[in-house]
Amino acid sequence: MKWSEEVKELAKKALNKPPAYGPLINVSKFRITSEIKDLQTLLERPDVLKRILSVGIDVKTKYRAGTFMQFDEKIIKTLAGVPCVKIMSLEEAKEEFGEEWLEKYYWRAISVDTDMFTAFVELYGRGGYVIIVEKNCKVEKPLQACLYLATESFLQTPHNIVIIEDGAEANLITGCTIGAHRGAHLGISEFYVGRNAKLTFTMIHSWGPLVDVRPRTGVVVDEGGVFISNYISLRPVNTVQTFPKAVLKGEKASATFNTLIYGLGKSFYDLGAKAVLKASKTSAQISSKVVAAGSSTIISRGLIVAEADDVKGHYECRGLMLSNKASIRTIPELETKVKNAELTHEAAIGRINANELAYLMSRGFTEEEAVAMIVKGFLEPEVPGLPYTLKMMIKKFTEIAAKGL
Amino acid sequence: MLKLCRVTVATEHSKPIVHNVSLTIGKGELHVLLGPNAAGKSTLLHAIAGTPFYHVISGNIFFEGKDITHISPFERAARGIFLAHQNPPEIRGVTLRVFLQHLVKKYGFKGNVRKILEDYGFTEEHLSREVNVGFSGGERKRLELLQAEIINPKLLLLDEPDSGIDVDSLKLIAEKINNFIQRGKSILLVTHRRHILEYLKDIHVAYVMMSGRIVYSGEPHTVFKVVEEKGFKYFKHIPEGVLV
Repeated sequence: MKWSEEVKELAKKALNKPPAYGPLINVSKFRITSEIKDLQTLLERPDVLKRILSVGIDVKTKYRAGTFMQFDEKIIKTLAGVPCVKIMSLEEAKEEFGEEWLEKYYWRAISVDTDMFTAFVELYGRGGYVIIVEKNCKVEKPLQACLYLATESFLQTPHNIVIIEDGAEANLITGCTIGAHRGAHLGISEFYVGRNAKLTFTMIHSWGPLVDVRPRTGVVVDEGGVFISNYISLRPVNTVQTFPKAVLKGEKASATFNTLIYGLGKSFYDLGAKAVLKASKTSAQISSKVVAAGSSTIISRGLIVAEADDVKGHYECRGLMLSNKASIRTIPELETKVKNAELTHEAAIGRINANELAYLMSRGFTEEEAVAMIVKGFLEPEVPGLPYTLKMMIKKFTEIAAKGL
Repeated sequence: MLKLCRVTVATEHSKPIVHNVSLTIGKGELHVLLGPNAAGKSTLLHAIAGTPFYHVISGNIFFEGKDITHISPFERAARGIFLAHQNPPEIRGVTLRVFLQHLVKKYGFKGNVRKILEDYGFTEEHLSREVNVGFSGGERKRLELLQAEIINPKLLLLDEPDSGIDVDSLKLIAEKINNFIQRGKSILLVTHRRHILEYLKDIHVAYVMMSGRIVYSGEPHTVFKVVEEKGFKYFKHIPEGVLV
């Protein structure tokens, strides 16, 4: 049986398999047919443009090396501005590269039968991007992908594959947002980072209080490869559950997951990351900074598994409580199957220090202004090696979030 | 400028710490409040500044003729009251650069911030650090006074600006206090050391506070002389309000 047929069979069997974490979503309540009639008109609407800009997407694409845009299930733009970068839809990639390519990169970083959501995307999913950065190609400007939910109660189901070939380097910004009130997003993302390659992946979510989100992500990093993920969600959402898994299969490979969450309203977040250190001298760092306001719930997980000698892993969660109705839970798990692994974790959850607040108020700041200043400072990312443009972008988001208190 | 009328102060869940304090500070006057540790000096300053957790349970505080006893700390700051904290907290995540930018914006400061930083012994490197994180005692005290240059208040409440610092910082702080007075600012300075007083000019009046009460007030040199010769313990035994 061909691999593409095999995954279909596996998916059928897993279609009712509940997810390991997070509340279930009744996918039958959502529609999978878009009501977009005129894409061009939609793209020119100021409210749509504003939403897209708010998740870091450069609509004019001037400051990006490549762009992919998908509204509902409709792919509206694939544009590569650099010769050594390929950007296309998954459908196009399947056609162009054929079965051999699928065997190598399709459902290999994450299993198709992980749960009902992965199975659903395989059987009914539409859209998604394939980005290939060719060997030794170092892309200076970031690449960008925009996933926009336009139709009311739409269920978006893209499957994305990113391949950074040996010695290549790229930054990819993915912005996901919504123009409708209600919707769901099941997004599969597979990342393959080659030998001595580097990918910085920044995902910015700005959904709405009636949106359910279940990203499913798998990462494979080869020898000397570097994968850095920054996940930022600073606007209200109904539920988000995600637990990306990185397998460090080549010596000295590394993975870093940074998460910035601002829980507002009734938002429910269950997220974290898993890193499997399969080769010697690999390392993983999982860091979360979460702010819980309103009656939000935030669960932060980190699982690091050491399976080879001389590996290092660290999980860290810092939580700031702004409300008595909110909750933060941190769940670190460290597992080693070897003697000489160095795995550590630390977590600290607290409220804003009353003395700091009183001090800022004695300088003429209102309580709201003082809280905003402290929260903004708290969310400021400390990510070494983050490109300047990304740093500035994240800074802008935290400023907007802090103002929205 | 500032008038306290029989002010009694308690902190949360405590008995009154400051009792029936009355004093008046005019424009451009430097008043010094002396007293041993735990006499209630800092509590009085916090009550004037309106710090949360410090409650005036009786009496009134007037500033420029208006009763400010029950207004918020940020309103008091906006009216021109500035408190230089004895132990300013670390503000994690907020760099000195960002913090000063907020102050400059809030108070419409038009002067040269870099020049002020230099005057107060700070370098470019300090700006990237979080407020007070890893700062020495002297740096923290100097940073407190530096903020007053940007805020330009009418009344400065200085809570032991001379504690835990080296002699160079002490001289600098004293020089800056003299400078504020020359510019017509009013100051209430709290200390329990006499060393800083040697560097200060034009002290208008000095008080001694014991167990939350002002037990002695008068011409500064007389007060300092008595404190020097007899120590604070001498004041335990004199009746309230009696001047020697």
